[in-house]
Amino acid sequence: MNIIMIILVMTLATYPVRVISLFVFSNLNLSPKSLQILSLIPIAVLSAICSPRILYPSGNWENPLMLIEVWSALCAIIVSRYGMLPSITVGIGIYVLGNTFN
Amino acid sequence: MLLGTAPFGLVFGAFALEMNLGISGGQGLSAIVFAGSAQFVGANLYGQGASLLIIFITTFLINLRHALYGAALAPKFNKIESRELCLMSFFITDEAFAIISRFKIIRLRYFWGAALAMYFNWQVWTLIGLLSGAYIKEHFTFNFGFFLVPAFIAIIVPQIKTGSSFLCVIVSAGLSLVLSSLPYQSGFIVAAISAIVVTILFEHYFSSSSTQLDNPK
Repeated sequence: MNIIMIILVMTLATYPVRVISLFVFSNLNLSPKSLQILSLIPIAVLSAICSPRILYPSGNWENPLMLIEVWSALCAIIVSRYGMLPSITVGIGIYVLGNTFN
Repeated sequence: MLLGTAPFGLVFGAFALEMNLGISGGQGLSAIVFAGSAQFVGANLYGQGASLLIIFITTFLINLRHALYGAALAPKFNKIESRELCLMSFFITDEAFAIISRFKIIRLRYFWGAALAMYFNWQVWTLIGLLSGAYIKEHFTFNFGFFLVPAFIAIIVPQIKTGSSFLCVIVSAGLSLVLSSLPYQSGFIVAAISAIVVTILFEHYFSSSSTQLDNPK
């Protein structure tokens, strides 16, 4: 199969979704209630992306207390009040150290 | 965020090589498609000899969450010209969305600063992954998908200001776990939409309780 065709097909499946939703919603006059609903999207989507990576990393259920991902995420949550950089540094640092010495 | 995406790009480069996409194919996917997790799945399907139709449908389903991103960001973009909006939409990835969704008003120069930094960061780490794929596979056994989590946590936690937003996070995270076995990562979308619906219903039916939660004093 031609790699150029793969790239083309994947582009066709990616770009229109992004551009159409942006155009459709930017041309609407949204009520405060609608805006409030839309403001929930970031936390809903990002939480949905994060939780399996923290609690279900291998694709099998394991004791959460034994998962380095859980401890790293908890530490990242604790330091998140100080900003993004401390959260990333602590989260990734604990994860890498835990994996290295485990 | 750039730190978080670096290992992800690195692993994609190594993975693309393993799936016989070659250096130009792997870099081409990153440069032209620029879709993170969809690239992994597309490369995997290509390596397994899947048809173009299957690759199209799967990529489309994975990228459906971008429709939610567009919906959330559109009100912040409503004074931008159509031509520029077309160009900007190419750069709306998970990471770019995570950053720009934090702002109430998006200034164009900030958007382009974040978007282009993400784009070139992804290209560089893909290339490094393509050039050092064998070494990475041999020496590192990390769950590279986790590297983005601390950055996302730093975005989610400050936005949990009310009982409703807390409920939304808990429901979304819990449902995403339960639905994680659904194909094509559709569990993310179902979990996120369900969490939003539950939160709206909660606010509608228990608004007084919600107010108490939101304003403990």
